[in-house]
Amino acid sequence: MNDRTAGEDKRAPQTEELLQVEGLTVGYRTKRGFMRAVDGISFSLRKGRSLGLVGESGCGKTTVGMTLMGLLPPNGEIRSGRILFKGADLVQKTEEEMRRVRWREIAMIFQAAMNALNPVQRVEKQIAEAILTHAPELSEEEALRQVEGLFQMVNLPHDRMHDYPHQYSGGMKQRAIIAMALACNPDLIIADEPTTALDVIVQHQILEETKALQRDLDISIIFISHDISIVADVSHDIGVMYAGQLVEYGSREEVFGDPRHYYTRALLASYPTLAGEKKDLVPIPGETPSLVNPPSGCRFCDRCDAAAETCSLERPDWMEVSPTHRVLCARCLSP
Amino acid sequence: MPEPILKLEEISKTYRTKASLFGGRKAGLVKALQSVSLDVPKGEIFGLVGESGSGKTTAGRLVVKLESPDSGRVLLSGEPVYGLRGRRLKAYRRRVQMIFQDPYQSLNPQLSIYESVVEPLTIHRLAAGGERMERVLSMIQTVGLSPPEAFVHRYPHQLSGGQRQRVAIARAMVLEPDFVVADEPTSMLDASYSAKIFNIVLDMRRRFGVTILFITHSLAAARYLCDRIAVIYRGHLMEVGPAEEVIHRPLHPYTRALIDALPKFGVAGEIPRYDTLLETERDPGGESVGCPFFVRCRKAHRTRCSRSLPGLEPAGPARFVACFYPGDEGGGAVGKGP
Repeated sequence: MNDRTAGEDKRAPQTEELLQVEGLTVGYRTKRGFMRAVDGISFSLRKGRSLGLVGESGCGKTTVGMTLMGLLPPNGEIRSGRILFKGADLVQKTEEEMRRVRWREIAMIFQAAMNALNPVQRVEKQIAEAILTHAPELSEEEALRQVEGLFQMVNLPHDRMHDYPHQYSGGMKQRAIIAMALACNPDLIIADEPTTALDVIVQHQILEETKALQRDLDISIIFISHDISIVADVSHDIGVMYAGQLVEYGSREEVFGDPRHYYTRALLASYPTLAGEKKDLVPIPGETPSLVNPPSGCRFCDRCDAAAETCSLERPDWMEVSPTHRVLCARCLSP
Repeated sequence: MPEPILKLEEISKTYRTKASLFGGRKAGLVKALQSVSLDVPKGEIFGLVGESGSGKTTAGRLVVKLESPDSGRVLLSGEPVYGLRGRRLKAYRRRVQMIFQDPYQSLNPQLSIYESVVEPLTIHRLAAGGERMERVLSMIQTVGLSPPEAFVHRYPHQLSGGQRQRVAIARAMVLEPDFVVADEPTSMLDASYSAKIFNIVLDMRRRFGVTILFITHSLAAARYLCDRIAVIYRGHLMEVGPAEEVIHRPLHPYTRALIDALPKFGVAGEIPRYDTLLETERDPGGESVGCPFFVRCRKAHRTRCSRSLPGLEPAGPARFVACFYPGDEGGGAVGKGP
């Protein structure tokens, strides 16, 4: 991509956080009341780093992604909190201002990306159009030249540029979607279950390529997935989400090597692996709590082995395990 | 090996596909299964592991007679399954059950949990009156929905995905079948619910001695559940053997490529890298009559592997592999590609 160096100046200086989310609460107005899908979460992301948000369905991980993109549905609402992106608060921005941020600075790779391409337009045309929308000063030839560069970057064969999406395999479509996300040189890419629909071999290739792209282009990525093994594979830092809250946050090594929150431990114990001794899987008993009337204390305490009587009453506090590793539970500090 | 309860003998199945509307795909034949033979002894959990389009679901559907093969035979307890009529067919339908992938679609939304689970008993005229209710309640309890009285009058929409899948298992197991086909029963569920389903499957075998064909794309799930596994690729069985053996000492280059591709979760040290997958596919060189993995295989021999199809041959105790150069042997045409 030839204007990557030119795009450098729009970036924040190296030392600062690219993204700081502070006390973000987002929910949806439903018939049963306001459902707090994301409840007071905070995290930050430096330039060139990747963060994996992992959790089960309904934990709020996709809502985080949609909020960062400014793409909440009409019944969605940000109740409180700040999203500082390169120093400016995205929550305060108007729709018009967000439109300038979206795709150009923050891009997204959607869940079910297979259906995210326009079926009646050639792939090169779609990507060129995305480039031209955000950089109208370019000529069509220049845009197509950039598409060529993008194809090379995501390992799509050059001679397939003129094809329609239906002529692509699932893996190729996913690569085209990644090319589209890269089209405007974003600083941050949000990848929501980017490989869920793909077979393991293709998934592996795409994850490896994404890691390489991130390294080479120095992009920040937020990976959102229910699959711990994928998140562990691609992310520097891990945030574990449960029932709308972040419950554990730290480097990949800390969270998976020394998990502290009982939910993280339970999640890991319920996951079959290939290596090591074959051990019994321990399912997590019970169901996730309602997010319309969430319990006042710890949200996991009904399902937790270590819960004490006070757990269901008092709101848990963040505890620091190390300067980079924190956990939302006072009882979790003992290893 | 004990007498197999299920036997597949050289099963082949080809589907005719229509051309797609905009010409992306031409009309043609898809060979879903090609001369697949398998024995599953009584009480075993046998895993069929493959990617999408490998034919694993077709194999399961053939066993429960949702499909019929173009050639070959399926035998249950020595009796050919195709050609069964009347009462014997109905008996077969009682003995063999299926658990489907998607519990959101496999349960009738208009039937209560009781009605869903009792229906098979009604159809097969098993148990009567109070005993029916008893059997339903006890089965619902067995799948971990407790207390069962609290669940029988609910409807599927009031249950979570994991609970629905447990109802689907209860519905299959209430007839006390001899054989169950479970087709990716956890692929729609979160990890914590999947573990529960896996443990229920193990419990069903322990309690009822049922034999299970477990169809999955996940080697890790197969390792946890299965005694033996078969790796299937484009309608061919590539490798068969005890689950732990196949996963820790894979012989077929395709099995090795699958294991290479799995996210290793910080334990890569224990699992070697095999590097059997070519980065770019090689040219099959005319009509492909050879090994289905030839175009992706780094270890293939250019002429031998492209011109003849390796059969599933014994390779050590209880192990079978369909490859001319299994394990660490090289084919000669080892190289970077075409």
